[in-house]
Amino acid sequence: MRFELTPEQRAWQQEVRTFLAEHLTPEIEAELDTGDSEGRGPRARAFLRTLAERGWWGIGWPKEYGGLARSAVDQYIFIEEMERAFAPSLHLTVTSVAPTIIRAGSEAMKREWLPRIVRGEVDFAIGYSEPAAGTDIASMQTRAVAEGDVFVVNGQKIWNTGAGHATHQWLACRTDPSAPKHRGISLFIVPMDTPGITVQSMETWGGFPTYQVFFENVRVPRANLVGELDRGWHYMTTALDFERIAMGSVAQARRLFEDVVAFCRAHAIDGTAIAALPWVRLKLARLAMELEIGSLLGWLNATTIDRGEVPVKEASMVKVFNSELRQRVCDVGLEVMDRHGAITPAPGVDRIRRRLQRMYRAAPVWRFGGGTNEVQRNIIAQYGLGLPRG
Amino acid sequence: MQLHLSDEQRLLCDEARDFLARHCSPADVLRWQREGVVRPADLWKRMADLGWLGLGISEADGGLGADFFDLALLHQACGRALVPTLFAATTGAALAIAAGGSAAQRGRYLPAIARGDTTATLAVAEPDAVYDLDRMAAALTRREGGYVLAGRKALIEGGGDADLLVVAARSPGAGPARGGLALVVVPRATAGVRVTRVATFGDHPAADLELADVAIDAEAVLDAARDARATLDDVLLRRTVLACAEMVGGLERVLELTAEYVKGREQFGRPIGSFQAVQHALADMATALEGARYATYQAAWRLARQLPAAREVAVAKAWTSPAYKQATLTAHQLHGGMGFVTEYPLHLYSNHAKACEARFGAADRHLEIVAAALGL
Repeated sequence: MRFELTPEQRAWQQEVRTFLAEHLTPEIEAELDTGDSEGRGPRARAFLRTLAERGWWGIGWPKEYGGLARSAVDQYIFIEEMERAFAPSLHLTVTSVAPTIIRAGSEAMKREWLPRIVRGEVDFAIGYSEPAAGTDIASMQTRAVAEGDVFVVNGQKIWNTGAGHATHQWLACRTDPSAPKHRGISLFIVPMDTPGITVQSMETWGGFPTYQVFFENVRVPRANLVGELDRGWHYMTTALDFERIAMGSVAQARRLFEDVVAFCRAHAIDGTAIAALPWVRLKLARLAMELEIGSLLGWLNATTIDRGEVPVKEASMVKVFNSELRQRVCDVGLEVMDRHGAITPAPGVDRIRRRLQRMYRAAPVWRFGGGTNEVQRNIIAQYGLGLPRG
Repeated sequence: MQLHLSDEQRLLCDEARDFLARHCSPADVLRWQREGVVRPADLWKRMADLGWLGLGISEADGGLGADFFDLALLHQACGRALVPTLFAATTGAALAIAAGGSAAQRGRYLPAIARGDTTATLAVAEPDAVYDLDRMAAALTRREGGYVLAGRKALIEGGGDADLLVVAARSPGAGPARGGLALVVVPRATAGVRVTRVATFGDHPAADLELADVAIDAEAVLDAARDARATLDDVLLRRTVLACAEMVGGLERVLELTAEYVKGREQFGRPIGSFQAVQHALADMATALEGARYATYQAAWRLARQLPAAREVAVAKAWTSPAYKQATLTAHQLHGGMGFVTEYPLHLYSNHAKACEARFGAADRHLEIVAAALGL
């Protein structure tokens, strides 16, 4: 047992912290603060390039592909520092697509795509969800039919976040309709400029757009099939490693909480500092306790991975607990601010309330996205406690 | 960071669990509670033989010299089996004697505790001074050839049963300011000690004590030259964590009982454990348990290393007590009538959980400590 970082881990944490203090400029923060760039504006991109140059896109990638092959705890430390600073987050291209290409792709595919990903030339949108296949994602209906050296794709994807900027789709299609639904799915790389693709934007409550993407007789070269035909489901579910680690982080919620505490000290209602109101003290203390619990669950998750185990129930616990805690921190934070919390200050005036309000609206995505919390609770009950499937 | 038990620690947990499954069954616990047995002789002797009564006592003082973290693991196993509370009361009092006593004092009391011959309890709370030790009224005053102890202690765990009372009192000459406390070892059978047993929720043994000018030998005042306040603060943190560890053990067992029950119980032609409403309740219970476990382990780990731990202890208690209590109430809902009959062990845990809630301060009192640590 050890409930503190080793000297090496502390040094790594400090290295990331120092880097962020230098490179995460007020200009980048201002660009993110406007909320309409999805973290993909020119400054955020330049910042992410700097990360790539340091090799920090591949912290968990194997060394032979230019990665640092660092432990799950080190990856967790990195994510925590990035989140704490509200830095632009690494794209799924880096955290999900690239590791899957490394694990499942042919040599030719690795040679073609990994350098382009590392150079930042390509950016993927993840094409899994469909109108009738959300939580039950294996029910997807988008078809890919082999015709000689190409696959012809027809169908529709939704919640295709990033499609407005993406150069490529990381597309899951049904390739064997006669197989059980978890088999017969394959993954493809599809350039967005292929004829037959149309993109429709949808505004969201969270303030960032998401997209529907339609595929009509879209021709995809066989060389763009990822790994083996009909093995897509396996690749999709094993690509969760990094997300499992990332899910554990409460750093963003903790930072929001600390900002709320500072705000409550500095602002008063009827002449009394908000932080001195008895009910506010108790609510804030409860959040502090829950952040501690969430953080411990996050460390449990990361250290379980470093033992070479797959943290099935631990990852689900962390996902449920921390996504609900994120919502609660924003909710209670704005609530205790009272009338102050209702005000949306102009950009650059008061980042705390702008951020808190934005995160309050964005937080539901963490609860229903990435496998809904209902499904996560089923996983805890079934895999963790051995209860029978319904 | 490393949140997994070592092989030795795991072995300790497994052995303790297996031993207690044999020698401290729910039927035993129910019988002892009904018959008012607080120190089952056979169990006590076996625990002493295993070294458990001296686990946290140094080898020089007749114990095994394990660190505080291992002591917490043992209490987790005891909570799981609902070992009578005089055990935890005795280990807690031993911590105070070990931390506050001179070599001679430790030698006088601790080997007998480790052998299982002597039981003990801490007597700190008073009718009007429960958590705020500055309000303490019981006082030790000098008298020719020794001291006199006078005052009242309230709702002392095992106070009517323990052989030794480790009593906190104002030091001779101490003013009303912080500090100036003494710890005095008083055999319960001493003249002037009057015991009134108090009936409690869940039938855990407790008593009020009246100390009517009890004559105290100078050698019974733990390290009389030193103020005992810091020792007492530290011992109370440790007792709180050991109580959390017991609750983690109890909560773990409640989760197991309930998971087993819903797997086997069929209604509408299928196990009720296949219903999502049931699964989700158990998933939340399982998550709350892991939170309680690691919050408690974190506090114990820090205390074992003498690191500041007041905040971590407060988080552990504030999280663990409500989690345990809620688990028992959820378990009653999921068990239905089966969990309601006393031949099934659930009610023993439900009583334990509710009784633990008030011990060492209920959850919101500890949240107040967390608030203070935040500088609010």
